[in-house]
Amino acid sequence: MALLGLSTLTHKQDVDAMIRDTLDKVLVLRFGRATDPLCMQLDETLGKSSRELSKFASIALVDVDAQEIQVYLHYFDITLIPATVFFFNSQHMKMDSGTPDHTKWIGAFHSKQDFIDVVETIYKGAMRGKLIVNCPLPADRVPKFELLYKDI
Amino acid sequence: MGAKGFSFCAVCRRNHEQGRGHRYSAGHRNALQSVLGKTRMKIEGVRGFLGNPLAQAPSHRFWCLFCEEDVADDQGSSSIACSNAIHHLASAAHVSNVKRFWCENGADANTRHDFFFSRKEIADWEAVCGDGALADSSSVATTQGATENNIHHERFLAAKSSQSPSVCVEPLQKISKDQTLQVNGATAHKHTVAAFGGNLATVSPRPLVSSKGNVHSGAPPPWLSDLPTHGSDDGCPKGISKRKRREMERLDKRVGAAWANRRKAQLERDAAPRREEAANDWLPSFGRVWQNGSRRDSRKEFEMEKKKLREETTNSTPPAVQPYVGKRKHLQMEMEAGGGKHD
Repeated sequence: MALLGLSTLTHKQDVDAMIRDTLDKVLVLRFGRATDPLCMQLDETLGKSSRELSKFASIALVDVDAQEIQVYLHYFDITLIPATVFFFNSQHMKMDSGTPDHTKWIGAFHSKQDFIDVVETIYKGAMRGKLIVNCPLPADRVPKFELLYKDI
Repeated sequence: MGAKGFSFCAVCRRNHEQGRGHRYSAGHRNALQSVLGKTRMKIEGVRGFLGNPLAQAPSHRFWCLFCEEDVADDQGSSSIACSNAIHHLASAAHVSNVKRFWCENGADANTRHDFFFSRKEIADWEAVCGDGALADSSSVATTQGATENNIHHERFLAAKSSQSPSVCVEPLQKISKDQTLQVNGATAHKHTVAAFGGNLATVSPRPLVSSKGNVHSGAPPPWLSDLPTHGSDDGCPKGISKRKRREMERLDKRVGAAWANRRKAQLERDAAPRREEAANDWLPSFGRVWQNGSRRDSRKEFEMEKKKLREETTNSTPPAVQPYVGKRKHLQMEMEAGGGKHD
């Protein structure tokens, strides 16, 4: 998605470097496929808001079909795409949006402003030392999904 | 406007000059709530023995907040468990101290009766003790662990006493936003087996050879697994004391602040080229110490001195080294030479 100004990462070391070297900024990683329609919708939202958020957020796309990325899919337990994961200073940030999974945002955003609000909330929480923040969006704008967990 | 003067609040453990208004402040109310909560739990522990007196008397002690004294029941001092504590909590002195505490600290009057035993309760207890129908400690399952003043017993009582509003037991499933992964992640090693929702596409990750855990179980993250070795530099500027550094770290509340500082220092070190050793004609970037003038003037002066020195060393022969002759000796020699001439 170079057209939107966002880089697509397919190697583990690129993702590692991105996470480790983004300092004092929120890092937004979208895990998905460029050909999936919902991913494309989300990518457009991310691309359009990347400039407004450039002062305190960096955005990148990660291709879930790459071999080296599978370790991340396992670590974050990603089964639905698009899945957006947030980081701050190499720490994984969680968000409680009323969904079964607080570790990532699943689905697209309703509007550009929603995404900006979410990133702003995460940034504010991270600067105050919070590892988990409350989602500022109302429940009807949060995509619904169901997950079945199994204990290992 | 008279001066209120400083007075010490035993609940907040600090001096204040707010006078009687201090008891209505938020800090005092919070401190009071916690202190009374703890005291209530201890008294509930003794109240358990009031309801079920034991024949075997275990040793038990607690600090009475209102009377400011230690109430102890040593093993063997009495045949009935916690008799000293029960008598103390029913005594007139304790009751009046409780009332005095309530007046001084502005606590809720409806809760006052929880902190002493009424006459009826004492009378019933004495009747039971007098009857001799005292239970053995081993047969009473509810007072398990009451022999020791331990935290497990207090927690058991807290869970039992549902009527006390200060003890709040949260259900296990609720995840508060302040809980970090390390606190609750270690127990839940789970992964998703099925997922569905709306028009979301599913992805099934290819099975890994070894499952090291995931974000739910608190496993170490993959981006920190193969870190290159780094120096001991933690990003703080050199020359500040350890105390100041600790204070700066304490005030820095950002998530991952220590990591960010360290990584910034590392990146700066890698980016900046290594500076060479200073040459012989290196000049400091401030003006000469004892002379006025800007750096340009001092540099000109330096350059001229260097030139002169260079000329002197190349042109002139080195001066002959002569022994030191003092002034008196020198004058004497001159006079001798002069005297010799006159003669």
